[in-house]
Amino acid sequence: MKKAIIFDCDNTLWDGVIGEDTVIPRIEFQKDIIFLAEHGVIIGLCSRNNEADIMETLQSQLLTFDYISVSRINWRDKVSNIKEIARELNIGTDAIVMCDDSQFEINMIRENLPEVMCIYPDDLLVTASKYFDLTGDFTKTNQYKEQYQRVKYSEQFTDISSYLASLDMVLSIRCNDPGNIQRVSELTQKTNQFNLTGKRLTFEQVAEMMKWSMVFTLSVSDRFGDCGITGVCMVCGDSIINFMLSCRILGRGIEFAFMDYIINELIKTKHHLFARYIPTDRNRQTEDFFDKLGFEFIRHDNNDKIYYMWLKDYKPKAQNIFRYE
Amino acid sequence: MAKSFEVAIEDINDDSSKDNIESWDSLHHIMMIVALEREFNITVPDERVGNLISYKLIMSEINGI
Repeated sequence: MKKAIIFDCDNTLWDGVIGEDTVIPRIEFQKDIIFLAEHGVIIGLCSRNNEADIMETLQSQLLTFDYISVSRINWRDKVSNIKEIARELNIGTDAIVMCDDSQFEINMIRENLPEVMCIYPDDLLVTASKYFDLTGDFTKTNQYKEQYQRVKYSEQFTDISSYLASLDMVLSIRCNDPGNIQRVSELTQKTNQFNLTGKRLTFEQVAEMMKWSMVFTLSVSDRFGDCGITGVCMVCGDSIINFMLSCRILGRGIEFAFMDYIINELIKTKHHLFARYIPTDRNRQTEDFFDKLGFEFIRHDNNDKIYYMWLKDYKPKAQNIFRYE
Repeated sequence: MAKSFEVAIEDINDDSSKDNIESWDSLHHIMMIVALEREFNITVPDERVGNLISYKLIMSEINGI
């Protein structure tokens, strides 16, 4: 699996040579690079130029310096530059792809670093889909397969509850696990339908939140595999300030099992809970979620709905088809 | 592609990707790949199925065979 693509600049990112011609950006090509950068590919530059010239040119390009993780712009040979880049990124040279328009440079690298894959600009996308992992948080390939099998499998059942029971679902719930910060932030950014507040949080905000409140994460696995972290609930003081579930696991009653577990934890230290539903354009289906859980509706706050629960009164809502781990 | 994601054909262009098509989730993705495999009579290797997350990447896969 490759991790980084290092680009030459002249006649690769733009047509023309800096210092000799007026350069014309290759807009489509730069867009492709940005797309890859946004999907987990590390982007670097390695080019024979004056560094100051490149910095200046990049300012007016689509592909700005923000997308570039590492660069070696100097007049030294590319072979030692690539070795340095690998060291800086802490990856093997075999995880690096070099994209260059010059046959000469490519031959030079191939001769000295045969493990580095060298490609011409035209081959960028084909190479990316063959040798990189662009799926990121979107789900891994095997998760597609699993999802497909679930659909096929469900077709043999006529009633939904016996189908769900046969899935053998296992819930694994963690609280304030720093390893999950990135994924929690992603979920707040991407979850629309089953999201009780619609609040988006950055990595830093989630990290901060784990210091002074409780951030519960839910992962679900079943007979077909592991869906990964697909649920988040945040509790601050005596309030549920956020609750969301990825659409990947909706329709299985998992939200109730998740909440049952959380209340069971909270009752050890708290007597009551407040909760807030904030309507957004997309979360209509969760409007009555707290009602279904047995929370008491107290009042409106603008368009928001405020709920209350005396924890001793809470009755578990999930069907008895889940196991906790 | 448009059919798989239940959007109008005019809504698909060079810049289309899972980032700007709302219904492009994992389930629709696998459905689309299956549809493409049938339509173009190709087989997408397992390890690349998850990578075809934009119109351009899909075209590069189809044209690359």
